[in-house]
Amino acid sequence: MYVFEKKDNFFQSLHPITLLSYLFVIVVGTIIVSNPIILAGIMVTVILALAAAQSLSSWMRSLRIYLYMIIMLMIINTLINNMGATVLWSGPIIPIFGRLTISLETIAFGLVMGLRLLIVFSAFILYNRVMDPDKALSVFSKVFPRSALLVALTTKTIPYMGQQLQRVAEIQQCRGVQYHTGGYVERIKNRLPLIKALLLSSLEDSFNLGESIQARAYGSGPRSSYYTLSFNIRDVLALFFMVASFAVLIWAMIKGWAAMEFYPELGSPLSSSEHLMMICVIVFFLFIPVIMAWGWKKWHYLRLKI
Amino acid sequence: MALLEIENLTYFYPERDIPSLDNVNLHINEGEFVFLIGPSGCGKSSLLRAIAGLLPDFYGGKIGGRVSYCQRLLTRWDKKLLAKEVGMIFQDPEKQIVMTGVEQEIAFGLENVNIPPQEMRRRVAEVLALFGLSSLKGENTFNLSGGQKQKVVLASVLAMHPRVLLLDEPTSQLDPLAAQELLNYVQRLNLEWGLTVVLVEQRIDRCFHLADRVVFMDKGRVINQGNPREIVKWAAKEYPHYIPPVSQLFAGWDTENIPLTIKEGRAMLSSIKPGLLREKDTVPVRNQDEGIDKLKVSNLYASYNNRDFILKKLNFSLFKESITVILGENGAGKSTLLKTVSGLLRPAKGRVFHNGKDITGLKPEQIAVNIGYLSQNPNDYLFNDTVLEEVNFNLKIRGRRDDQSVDRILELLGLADKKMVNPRDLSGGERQRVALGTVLVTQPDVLLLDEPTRGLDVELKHQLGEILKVLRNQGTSILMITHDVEFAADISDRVIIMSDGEIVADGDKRVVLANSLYYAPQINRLFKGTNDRVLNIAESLQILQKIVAKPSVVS
Repeated sequence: MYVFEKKDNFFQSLHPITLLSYLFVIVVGTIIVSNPIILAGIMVTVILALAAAQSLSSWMRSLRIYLYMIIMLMIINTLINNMGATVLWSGPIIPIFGRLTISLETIAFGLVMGLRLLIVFSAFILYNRVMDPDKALSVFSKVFPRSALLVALTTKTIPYMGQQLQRVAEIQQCRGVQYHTGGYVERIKNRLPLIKALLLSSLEDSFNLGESIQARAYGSGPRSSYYTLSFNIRDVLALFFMVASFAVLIWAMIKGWAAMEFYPELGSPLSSSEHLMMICVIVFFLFIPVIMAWGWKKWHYLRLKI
Repeated sequence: MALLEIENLTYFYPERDIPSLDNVNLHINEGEFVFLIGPSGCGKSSLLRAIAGLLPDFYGGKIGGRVSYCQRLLTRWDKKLLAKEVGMIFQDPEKQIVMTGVEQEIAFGLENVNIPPQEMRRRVAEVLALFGLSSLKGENTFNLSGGQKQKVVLASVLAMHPRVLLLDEPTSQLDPLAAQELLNYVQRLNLEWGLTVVLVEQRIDRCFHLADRVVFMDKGRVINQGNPREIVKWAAKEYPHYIPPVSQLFAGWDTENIPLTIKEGRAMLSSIKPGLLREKDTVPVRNQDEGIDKLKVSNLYASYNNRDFILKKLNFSLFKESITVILGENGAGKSTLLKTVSGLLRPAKGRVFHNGKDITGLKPEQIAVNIGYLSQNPNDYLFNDTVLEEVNFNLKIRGRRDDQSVDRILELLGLADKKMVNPRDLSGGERQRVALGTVLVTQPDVLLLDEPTRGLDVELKHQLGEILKVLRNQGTSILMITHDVEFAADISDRVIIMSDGEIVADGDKRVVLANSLYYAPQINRLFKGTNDRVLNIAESLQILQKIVAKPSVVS
């Protein structure tokens, strides 16, 4: 079960707003772009950022679950999408979906879609590893006090619930419930008591938590904030390049360089040397925080200065 | 003038006809240490909540009478100011922690009352140092032990610089060492900072002598109050379970000056007969290796990660119709042992035999039919709509039906009249018994109990002990983990002490407990040097009678 850990790295030292903007640019960029070269650049950036955040190994561990999902989606898309012109294989007709075909275009589209999903998943993992929930609460509670507390409590509660679920599951097993035998429906049915016990206990616990929060005067008026979070030079630098890369990205979109044609026939991901330049600029700007993270680790003088 | 004045306080929880507080009158002075005791459901916790201003604000319900703090009614106090003045700590630290980081959790209350950041930093640093938590300040609260969590909660309340500290069974979820540490802090805060303390606590022998005043409650009323000696004298007749064992023993003797601690008790024994504590006298011990094996564990190793062994080379037998207690500090592998025997954890090496049959590697649901396992938290069991369905569930899922034995078990557990009640509407002690009932329906001949006394008060513990004795006499063998040495001394036949995954002592309770520095019950420590084998009050009374029978002593 994932538990946030404080580590001494560049990303955790950033202001929550900087971090959130970085991830915003990555996720929104991934959604609006379909050019595989830009996407590949973003993917590499996220992987290196994960490495700089000392979270590469935990990303690799969770990768397996996501990869299954992504591959499934890619296969389904390839089989039931009939829009591609270069048909490689033609199968039987299936009601509702029509004829099953595999074409070069659907394979390419599936790959790009898979890459996008992978970037979004990885960005969320990065967020979890670098955003200190307490710092996030102290920033966001000024704007959304209730939602921020709710999010902080949820983050804190998840590992406890994981532990509780494990305990309840063990007890149910001793009581004679079988999770691993029987049909699909039966297995799901057998898990219902588990959820019920967990839910009931959580409701009771939340009541106690509410009491403790009230006894400590939450919501009794204006709050002060323990973290005196300030914008440092590193935040300004990182934010500047993020805004810059987002601006270039928007410009590229207007010029039609961020998208790629898939149907009916594959277009070229690269139209001119100017296009290539622009892609390099976007990826480079996104890359700058990672370079700063590297410098932060290796160069103590830089660390003092930014 | 008293700091806190409670006058004619009556309170009904929503939809209840019986008052939880019934005309309570109590004055608490600045700097006083008040120990609040009484049977479960007597209104102790409600009284604390009323003082903290949580009744009826948080719970609703009907309230009458007055509670004033510093001569001003609580209702007139600004919530923010009141929270600064009166801090409250609840039972379970996990259900009080809000934030992820330790430092941030301590600052949470300060932020709420709008303390400026600079002042907040100072206060957080101070309480971190005071409670020895500085090295943990960057930790995630999830990774802390129960004792550390409760210290963080105490620190977060203390950081607000309250004048009154209210504690509602703060050690009920902690092991004895962590509990003692927390109580030491509370005592220090009272002695050295003059903090007013109102404490509700089940560990009576650890708290009685700390208090300036003991307030005894029953059925929502304050029925007596006074200094610990007065209360001991009074309670010895009507509520003997609610005073420390040493005091229980001496209550019938010297009514003027009943000892509260072992030190006082030993001094009194010496004054009864000088040199008594050096005279040897022993109670005979049963032969410890007699009995038929019900459960046998041989050369058992267990690990969660295939690297570090939590259990190392365990060998022991659980005899027929016996109660064996496992003692040991946290992390000694006690719970892991029960999980391994019940099949929830596969042993890395070694065998487990039940009635001579090898059950290693069987699935938990197969083992559970003969070997019932009751885990620490009864709430993990309860999800059905009625107690009857809950207890019946284990039979139903196995396609069996046996209304008679279900009724018999509910009768034994004292739940016959609660049959149609939702288990979540029951008290902690009753929930515990429902959970036990679910284990008993398949009529196992071995019972594994993981800390069944956790959070139970003396009376409920006594009831549980009686139930376990009945089960033993009906032929069940019981293997039980507990931190409660007095309980272990009272009901067990054999005692095993575990440390770092190994069994370091195993034998008759008199041999194991009486030779122990740390695990000896109060009464045993009282007679150390004269009779090392005595474990309970009845036995020690016999010894005392022998002494007094000698005419030379009475002079």
